[in-house]
Amino acid sequence: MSKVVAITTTSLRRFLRTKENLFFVFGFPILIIFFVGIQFGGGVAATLVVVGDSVVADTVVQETEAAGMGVERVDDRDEAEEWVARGWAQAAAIVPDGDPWAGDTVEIEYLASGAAVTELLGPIQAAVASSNLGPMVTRAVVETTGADPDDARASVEASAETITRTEVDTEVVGDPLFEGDIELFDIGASSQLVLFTFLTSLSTSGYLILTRKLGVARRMLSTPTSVGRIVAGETVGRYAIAVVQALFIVVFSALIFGVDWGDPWGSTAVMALFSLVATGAGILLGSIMKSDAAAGGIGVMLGIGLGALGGGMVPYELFPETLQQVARFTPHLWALEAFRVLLFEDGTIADITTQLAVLAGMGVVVLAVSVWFYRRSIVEA
Amino acid sequence: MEAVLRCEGLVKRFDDRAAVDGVGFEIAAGETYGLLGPNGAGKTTTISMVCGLLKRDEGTVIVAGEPIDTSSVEERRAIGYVPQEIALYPDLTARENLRFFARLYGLSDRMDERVDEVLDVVGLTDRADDKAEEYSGGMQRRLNIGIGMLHEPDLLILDEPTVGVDPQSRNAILDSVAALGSLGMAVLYTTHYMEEAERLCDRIGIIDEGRIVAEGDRRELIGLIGEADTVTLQITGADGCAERVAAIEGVESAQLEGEELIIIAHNAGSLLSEILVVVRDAGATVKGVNVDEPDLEAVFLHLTGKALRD
Repeated sequence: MSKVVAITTTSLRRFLRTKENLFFVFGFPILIIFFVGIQFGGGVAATLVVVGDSVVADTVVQETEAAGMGVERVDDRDEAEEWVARGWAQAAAIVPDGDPWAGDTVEIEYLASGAAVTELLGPIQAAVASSNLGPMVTRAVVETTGADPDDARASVEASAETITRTEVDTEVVGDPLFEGDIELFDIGASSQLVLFTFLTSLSTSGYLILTRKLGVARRMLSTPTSVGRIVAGETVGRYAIAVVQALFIVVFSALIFGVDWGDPWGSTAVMALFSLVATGAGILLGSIMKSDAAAGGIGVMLGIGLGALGGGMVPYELFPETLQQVARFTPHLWALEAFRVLLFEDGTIADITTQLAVLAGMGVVVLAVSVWFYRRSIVEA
Repeated sequence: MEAVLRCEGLVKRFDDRAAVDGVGFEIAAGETYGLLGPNGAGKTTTISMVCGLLKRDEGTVIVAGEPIDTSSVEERRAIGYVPQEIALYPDLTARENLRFFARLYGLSDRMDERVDEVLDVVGLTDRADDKAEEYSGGMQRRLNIGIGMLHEPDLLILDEPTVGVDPQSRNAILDSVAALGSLGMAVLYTTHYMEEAERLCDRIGIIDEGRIVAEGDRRELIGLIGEADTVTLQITGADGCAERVAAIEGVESAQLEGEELIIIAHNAGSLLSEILVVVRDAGATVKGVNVDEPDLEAVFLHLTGKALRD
């Protein structure tokens, strides 16, 4: 046992001693979660851009500011789209120019990204519903009677209590990508967890290859240490790296960004099983490749490619049907699906048994194959 | 004396080619045995089979009374292996590397003590906490050797430990290896450097194309080819002394060429004092002496028809 521990701790020491590894294991995922969160999430002061020259547009601006959100006025729809597309604002309200007459239908076009679909809609609805009626009536009185605007405003305000309120109908076109009460960083956190855990595991393959190339694996075999213990030590070391990274992302994102990971048993099970698959994949890559440089490049491509295919970057529901079927072979999809149930549907471990079973199956198969290849690679080194 | 290593009839074939073909030898405790041969002669393949790292096709290996093969684990405790490549973690310090392998050798109780001792033996105590990648090639080689001797094995196997090392470091390594025999270890040393085999080894097996073509101590090996030593004396006033020297038993010939008296003799070292007395008695003054012994290079050339470094 102590030999397994010696190999495991040495693997960990070597990996964590490198500053670049520390950054990619602990720093980079958190940065990405933060940036994805403020780009697509809804907790940091979101910004609305408003187009239009009218009392309705003015009121939308006032209501948005009153709600504690950022608001900017831009000249036209193109400019508003650019703001949203570039992430400078999370939503845009395109309001028709000119003050409406009472009884007119005012169609406000609303463009939004991510969770802002619901978040920034509120001030617009409030604006239309609350305070635009008085100015509209005042304008009508001034334009039709030639009355002094101040006198007209005073008369309207005095009779406001007797005027029927404006009715507001809201029609949302298109389906939101996520349902439920989604906080700012929730969307990014689970995606980054699976992306980076897998990517890091693949990147450790280079260490296995170097250990072989340097002759250290062969030298370990010349000691009274069985092949099984060497394989176990290297495997446990890599599994520990994957689990520690996943745990760090969970704990840090929960404490700092307020991500709610749902049922802790469920999240822990997903992390543990997904880390198993990732560890197996890393060992497999390190066993079949001969060049650590090539393994590094292929590892990044595989990590990003499988992550994207599994829905780690774009929800896989947006993929064509064929691609969705292919995506089901990636562990990322099953892990993300499990996290979706836990995070956004308040599910428990009992609700993700299918996902856990698939991940466990993948883990056992990938790890068994990788151990076989690794064992062969060091015996024949 | 009981042999620490006994191997017999080792055979290893790769496809149809026999890389090792019937190699056998023994090494006693405190003895340094050299496997001398050119690159590709079968030295590393032989060592791999002795360590149990490579499955042999035929033959037996007994180390410290225990048979060794690829399934052996605990039996390997008797072996210290120093591979040809610098097989250690460059991103760990010397102390960390030693501690890592000490744990693999099962030295948990005496680990720190042995690590300090080995650091002292290989002269790295002052740099023990520097990363190995910051060492010179010679220092890395010394650490490489230190790892092999950590657990005080009965048999220490060194596979060309001075390859690619500068002359100064090479001397330091050879001095370290020379001291190992006195610690009672049996040492198996492979090299294609004739000088190293001559300097370090009590007995030498000359290996070529997978076979040991000759074995013995240096004198025995040179005796195999029947070549004599050449003694050259720079002398003055040497009239008639050549004939007197030629008459000494063991001297094959003595010939004066200018101020040089060239003597061909077997085992010239033991005859040298007698030769000098005869020359002095003949009235000559000796200004210089040079003894050229036939070396293992000549033996190898004689036995295989090719040079050691071909």
